[in-house]
Amino acid sequence: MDVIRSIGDFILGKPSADTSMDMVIVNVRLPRIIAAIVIGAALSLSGAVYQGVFRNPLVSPDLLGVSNGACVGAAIAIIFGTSMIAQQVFAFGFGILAVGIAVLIPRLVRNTSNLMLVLAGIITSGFFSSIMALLKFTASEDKELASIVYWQMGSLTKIGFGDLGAILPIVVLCTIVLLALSWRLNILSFGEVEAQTLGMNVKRMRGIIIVCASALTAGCVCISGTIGWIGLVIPHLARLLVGSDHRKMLPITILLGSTFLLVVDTACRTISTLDIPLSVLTGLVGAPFYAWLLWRQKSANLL
Amino acid sequence: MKTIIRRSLLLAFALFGLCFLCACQQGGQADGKIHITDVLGKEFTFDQPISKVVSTHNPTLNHVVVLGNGTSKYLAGFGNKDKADGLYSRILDDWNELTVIGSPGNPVNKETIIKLHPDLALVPENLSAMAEKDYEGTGVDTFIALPQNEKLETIPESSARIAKLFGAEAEERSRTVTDGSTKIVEDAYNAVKDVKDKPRVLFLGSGYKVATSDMIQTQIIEATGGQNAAAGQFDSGFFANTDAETIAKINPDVIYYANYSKHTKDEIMNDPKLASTNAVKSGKVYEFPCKLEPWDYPTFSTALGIAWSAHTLHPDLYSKDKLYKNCDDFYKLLYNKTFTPEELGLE
Repeated sequence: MDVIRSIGDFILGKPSADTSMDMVIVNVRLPRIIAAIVIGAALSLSGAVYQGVFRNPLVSPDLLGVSNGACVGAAIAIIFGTSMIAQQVFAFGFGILAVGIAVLIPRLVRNTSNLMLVLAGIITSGFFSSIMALLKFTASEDKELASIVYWQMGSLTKIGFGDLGAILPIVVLCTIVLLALSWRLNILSFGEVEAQTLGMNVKRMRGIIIVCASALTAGCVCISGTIGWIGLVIPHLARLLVGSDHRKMLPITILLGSTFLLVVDTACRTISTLDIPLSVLTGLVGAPFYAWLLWRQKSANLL
Repeated sequence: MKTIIRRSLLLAFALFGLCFLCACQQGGQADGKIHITDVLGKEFTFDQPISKVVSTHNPTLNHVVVLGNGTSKYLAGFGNKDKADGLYSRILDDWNELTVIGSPGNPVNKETIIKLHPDLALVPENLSAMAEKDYEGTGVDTFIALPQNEKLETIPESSARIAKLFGAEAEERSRTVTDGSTKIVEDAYNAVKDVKDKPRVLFLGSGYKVATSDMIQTQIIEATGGQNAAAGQFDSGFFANTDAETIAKINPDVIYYANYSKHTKDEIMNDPKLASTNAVKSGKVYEFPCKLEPWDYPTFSTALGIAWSAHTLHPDLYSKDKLYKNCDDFYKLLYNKTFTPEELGLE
């Protein structure tokens, strides 16, 4: 009841009766809960569409290097001691830059097949990983390095309503576009040749989907850091429940992803007095869960 | 050069502390309130002295413990206990009960902070960029207590600044400790000030990082009859990344390595890349004390670091007995406790 009252007072703009309780619920937990729902949904959706476009169940939202690029941006901002907003802008910018480089490489070699795009993503990820290693080497051990490593492991601790407000337009727009394109994803998943035969402009469609998925990922990563496994595991769970039809699978992916990250984040902040980074739990839970999913999918002959 | 060093030391531990206390009244307590400005110029006004603070920065926390007469009376929450366990487990009765709120560079637990109800969060200038975001939503203001350019002269300044938050008793305590540390520093400086042959000392951080000209470690070396072997070779500010080859070229006569650097004497002495240096050849490789707390942090214990360096570089001019006596007297002043040389890592 106190929680409902606090949230109700906040929405109605009433002065708070219990300052500590209201501070915890409204200033600390509420933005975190919303962030967990939004980011969990966005990363899962991004992973699902990537897997659909590339027709590869091992693909995650980091495929084109957006996470590694965002890490480099954030690390540069941390080393230069900039504000949180600058850190987020740098992370977003470098994430998009990484995707841009990954998309440019196939054009330069005049081969825009899926395979070439994947290889370009690997090249880009590797390149930004090396830059990251250099930045970590030069960072001050007791201050900057700790911040960079913590950022890489993902956390919703510092997210406020302002941060959510900054990414919500991108997340909502990209989500709407991707859901609207869900049946086209079904066609893309038949293969490039089949999709072309059915009259689809494969390059344009793939381009739109990649841009939206990358923007979703970059937008989330820039405020939360990198959170592993969600984009890889959740789409598989959704497929297990409702099948591979993207028109049903994507909304279920969104629901499952948001629920999963909400549960994980709640566990991260309640297990100890210190905030455990998200990737610790998403990995500990996600990896065995993924193994189980693969076993189930094999049993159900879905693989 | 001597005049500059002497002037800076005197100013650092006597005149500067007093002048700062006078200057920073800032029209202060005429209305009964406390008006104070932090390092970044942000102004604060309190109706009465504050009682509890939180911080994750060990040098800042040390100032708070010292001002509390070696107790946790002004502390509501602590940072990384692992790094500070050596000292505080011995002096704070409630060390195990003190709540951990986070560690430097990582986000603090906001819910824990709200539950603790501190009056302020003390943050150093080099973590100030993230501080507001870290404490956003907790209702706790951030006060930038320690400057980025950590020097000997900023230590009493920082102590006086923090003491003002806690009121007259803490301010008096700050003056007493400042006087005590000034005595030790002057004593060490006077013992070695006429030394002509100054050894070239390299201060190693982790890996092959070296202390640069603009650091507190250089001031310690220069105040105790030495010279920083790496002076002028790197950009100033923080520990500079270098490599073994460069260190071999520098060829220091003495190597100090920070006790938080994870080096050991054996590792340095047996490092083939450093074998050609005078320091390794003569065995003059020393861990900068102490086991309980770093004596090269921007805290009052730096005075003991200066005493130790004077003895290490010129044992004929500054005896071991004098060093041990100063350690006993100063720790009694700071924490009302003494430690054996073994506990301090001096033997």
